[in-house]
Amino acid sequence: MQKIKLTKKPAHLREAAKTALLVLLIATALLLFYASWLYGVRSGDMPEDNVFVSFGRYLGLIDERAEELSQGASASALPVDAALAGEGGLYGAPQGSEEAQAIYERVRPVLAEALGSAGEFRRVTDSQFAAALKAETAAYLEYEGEIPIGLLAQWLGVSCEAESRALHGVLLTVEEGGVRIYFRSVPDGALYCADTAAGEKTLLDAVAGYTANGAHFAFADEEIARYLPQESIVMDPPHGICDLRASVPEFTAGSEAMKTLLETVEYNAYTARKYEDLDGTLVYVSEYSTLRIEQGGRITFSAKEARGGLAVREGEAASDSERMSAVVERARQVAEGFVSAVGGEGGVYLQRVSPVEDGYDVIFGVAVREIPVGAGGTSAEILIRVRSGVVTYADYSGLRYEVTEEQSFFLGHKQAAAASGLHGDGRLRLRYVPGEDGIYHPAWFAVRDSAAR
Amino acid sequence: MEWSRVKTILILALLGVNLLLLGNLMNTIWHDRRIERQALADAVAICEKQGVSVSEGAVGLSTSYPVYAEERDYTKEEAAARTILGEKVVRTAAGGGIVTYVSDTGSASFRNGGYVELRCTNTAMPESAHDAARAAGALLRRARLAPEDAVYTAREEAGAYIVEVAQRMDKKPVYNMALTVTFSDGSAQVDGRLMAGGLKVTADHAKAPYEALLAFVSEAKKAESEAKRIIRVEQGYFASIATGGSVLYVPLWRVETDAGVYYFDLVKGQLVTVE
Repeated sequence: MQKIKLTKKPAHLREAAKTALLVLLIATALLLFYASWLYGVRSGDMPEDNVFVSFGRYLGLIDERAEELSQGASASALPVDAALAGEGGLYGAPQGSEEAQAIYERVRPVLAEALGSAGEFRRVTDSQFAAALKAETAAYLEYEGEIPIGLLAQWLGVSCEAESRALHGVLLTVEEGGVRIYFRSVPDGALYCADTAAGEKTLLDAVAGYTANGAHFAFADEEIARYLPQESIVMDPPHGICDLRASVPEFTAGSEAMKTLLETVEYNAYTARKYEDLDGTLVYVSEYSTLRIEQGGRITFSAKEARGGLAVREGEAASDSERMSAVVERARQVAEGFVSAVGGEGGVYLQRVSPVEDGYDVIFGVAVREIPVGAGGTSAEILIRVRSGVVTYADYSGLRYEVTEEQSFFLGHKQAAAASGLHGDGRLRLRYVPGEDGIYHPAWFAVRDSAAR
Repeated sequence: MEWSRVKTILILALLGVNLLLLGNLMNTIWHDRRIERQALADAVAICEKQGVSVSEGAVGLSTSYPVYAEERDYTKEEAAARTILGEKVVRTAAGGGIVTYVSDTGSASFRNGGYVELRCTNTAMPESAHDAARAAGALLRRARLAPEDAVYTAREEAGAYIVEVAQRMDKKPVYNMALTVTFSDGSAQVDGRLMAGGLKVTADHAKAPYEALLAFVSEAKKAESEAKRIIRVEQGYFASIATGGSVLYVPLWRVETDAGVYYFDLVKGQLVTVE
């Protein structure tokens, strides 16, 4: 009996020790696995499909929305010029510079608060608006296109009462201890104003540190005020704006450009057949849609019916603005895909969103280094039709634009205003305009409000 | 098979796996460090060729430097307001992320980006600066708003005690998250920006030091900086307001040069103005 006891005890202990060691090793393995993941994530050099990154996402330790959140607004919402008025005077960021975007980043939180907390918008007169432009503390942002207020609010993560109107520019001022918001409505040109719950300190902080750089609003100069709307920021564009060379894009089967284009319209080798038309147009046909790439560079996508289109991810869109925001975002992806496939330099900006029966027509322009390409009939535009929640038609007659090292002379802002033929009925913008040599030169262009409509 | 034998096999297998994982981790770290050291030396040489010298040791090798996201916590804000101002607070949401609470004993206003303005009356006046620092910590802790790893510095000014709360992220300063607690005339006022906690690592990350150094020199030249020497680089964060009231803590360099101090966003690779 004693002998049995003596042999049983060490065996029991050995098993317990083995179990403990097993548990310890499992824990160590998990710890090492976690440490490897943490190191990879923190050093930031892991590819997106790394197993550790996927594991982190699964556990919810990586916030996927952060990048999206940090964008704040899609690129198509960025203003083209901006001005800040503070203790140091009026600071302007002219079209063609990147400073307007830096100003936008400063003003964005105040704009979100002001737009989201704006009370009832009331009409104001030109003289009341001029008085607001003289405010000691103010921020003015001007957009290239017509931005529906509801859409702007969505981009800023808030909602706004005056959703149905659109604007070219928005003015924030400190008045009576609070922030007041003004805008000129498009297309009627009427001026509106509302009190907001944003505190004056928020705007004071946003404009702090900037000093006068020679910019002024048009109303401050009697001569200029005859030609331009009083809120136009008058200052010469930055030096060194170069010309553009335009060429017809080349699409060959299997090229990166073609892959980008096919991915944009969600085609692949299994869903689309390819053939060449008599005029050399490349045609891809899927069951319910067609993609045509003409030799001159025109790209058109058309869906025969809704199920052949590109779906808009509306999510749980409850309001018209949320739906419009989802539509514009999807349209922007398509437009950017087209421009990216064509190659060269340039990005898209929102020109206009027009609600139509059962959907929207969204028009994007193409800009190179903050300056839109083309003017009037030569504008590089991308038309996207969205019907019943899908992109049913997209059309881009785009060229491949590349910046040269050549620079052209163009008039100063004041001289250009005088020569523009405007009488306060439009805006003076920089555009790349094609010359006889096929080169696009920067030039002033009078954008009449009626024409913009 | 006998269970004891299974355990032995498992132990041996796990030992192998652990050694493999440990070896892989050590090798990755060692390899990364070696490459990074070399890349940094190359970057310093390139900068010097471009006319910008870098003081020895000014730029360190990368440490963990992720971008953090912080969701706005409305429940926490309301609880804080009720704790400090009493249960009979009236809540008003003005839109645009502005939420205010008012009661007989004061008011509180919370805004996107962690901005807070809180004023409560009937507060005992501290007797010294040291006392004020402790009282500020106690007030924020009571409201469950006290940031972790914060440093309280108090001073007396015109009969009031002003406590500056320096907030830190991963032991690094957050440059634009100034918060002050002021005690005067029997009231306490909290004003500034507060880190709320509940942070998540994002998929974004800071540029490696060699990459950041080159980008900084290039951006400084674009901004027509006259800097010829980088004296010191301090790692920190700046808080950026994201859509929907969230805050992103973005890695930042505070670069001290012979031509002044610059702040450099390590994610976007551009110079920024920090309030």
